[in-house]
Amino acid sequence: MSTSPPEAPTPETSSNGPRVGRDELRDLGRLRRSRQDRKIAGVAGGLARHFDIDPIIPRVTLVVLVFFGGAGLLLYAACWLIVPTDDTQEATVRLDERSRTIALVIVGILAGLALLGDSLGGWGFPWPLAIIGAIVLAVTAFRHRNDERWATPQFGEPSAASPAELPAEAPAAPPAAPMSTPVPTPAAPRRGGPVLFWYALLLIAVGLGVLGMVDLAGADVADGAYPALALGISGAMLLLGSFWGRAGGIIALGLVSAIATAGATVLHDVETGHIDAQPRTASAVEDEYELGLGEIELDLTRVADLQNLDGRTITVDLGVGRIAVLVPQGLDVRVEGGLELGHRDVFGDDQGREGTNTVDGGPQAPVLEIEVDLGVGEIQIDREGDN
Amino acid sequence: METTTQPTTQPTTLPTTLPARHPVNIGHLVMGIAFLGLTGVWALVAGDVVEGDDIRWLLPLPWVLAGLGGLAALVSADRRRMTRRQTGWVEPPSQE
Repeated sequence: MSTSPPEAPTPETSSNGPRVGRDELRDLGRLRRSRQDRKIAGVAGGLARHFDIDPIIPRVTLVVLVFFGGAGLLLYAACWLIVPTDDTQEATVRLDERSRTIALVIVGILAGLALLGDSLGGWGFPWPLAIIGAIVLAVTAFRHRNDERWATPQFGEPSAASPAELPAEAPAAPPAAPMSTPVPTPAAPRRGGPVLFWYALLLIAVGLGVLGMVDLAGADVADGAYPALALGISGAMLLLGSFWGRAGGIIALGLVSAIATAGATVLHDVETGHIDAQPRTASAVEDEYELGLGEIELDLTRVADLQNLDGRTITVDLGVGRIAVLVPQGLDVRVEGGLELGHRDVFGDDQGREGTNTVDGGPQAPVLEIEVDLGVGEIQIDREGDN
Repeated sequence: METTTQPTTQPTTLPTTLPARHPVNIGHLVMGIAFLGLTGVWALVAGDVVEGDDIRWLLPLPWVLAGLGGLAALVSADRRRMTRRQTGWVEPPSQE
């Protein structure tokens, strides 16, 4: 009887799966979308299993990367389209393992460029590269489908044809009977899967190209027009496919386009910049200073007729950035409001993010009210000479 | 002794009576209408036809239209299925 524990580690067959090696990590062709561990399409679950990490890590990473040039969105959408599921081995865009690995590397590079471009602020999402990548992907997948269709049939294997396609009077042959002479295998049944997806993708590529040319020619094309065009084509092809069939994958295409359209439209509406106001008269002081992203600097110390500010309310509204206001002596100022996240310093009081602060300008001094509203950033309001 | 069996039914008559029509894919129909509707909303917003708070009530409109479209297709498909079920395997007397 032996009391020593077994020396060799037994292969791990628990639900956690075996530890993966470096070579397996590099082999992106092994990547599969998870059917069991999925929130949307099982991409993060599949990535977690491939890299042998907790699924929360890729989920959080992808969500965070969405806000950096759309890199997360690009990665997720690409994986959704080209990575097969772990149970049926089916993917919307069927590629062989080598092509899929190359495509994933290209997508990774594009996502890296988007992330880098957004972080440095130098350039936006590389749409031309993305379109070229999509076309290359489409052509590769189309060729792959043709190769499969004309592949040499394997003799000695059970026929892939369904019983309905075999002649009715043919006797039931033994499934694996060796044949001495090559007999042509009946044609494989028509493959299912998306057909309209490729037409939609190519139409989008052509449409974006034409729109780009119109844009370069000098016409006024809004930023959101590019993804909106893709959205419209996706919608039209889906409508056609709902009656004709074979429209798989276009919903994912449309969702990506819809998010991109919304993002481009919202970003277009957000005003960015720097407001530096130094009014010299009370009438030049505006009732409202508003900006989406940037800095608002308001210097009231040069206003000559302070008495005309009596009873007025100035609203300073900023989404993200810095608000700096300098008020003169001889003015009763009441500051109200605050910010969601960041630092608030009003007349030396830097406690809290909301509140009301007043400063006395002396007897008979005109009264001014300032309402500040900031999302994220810094509020700095001082009185001239107090520092 | 050889016996020959005569077919008692004509199985080939049945498929020819059924219409070869692709069933409407409700999911694709709904999303198609929604995407086209969203494109329309974008066009209205980008063209400054709709501004400010009006955008808020415009945004759900594509989804309402998509839902109505899907509902109509579903009812239509159900009615067609009911009609087919009532016809069953019995051939209409006019074809005899």
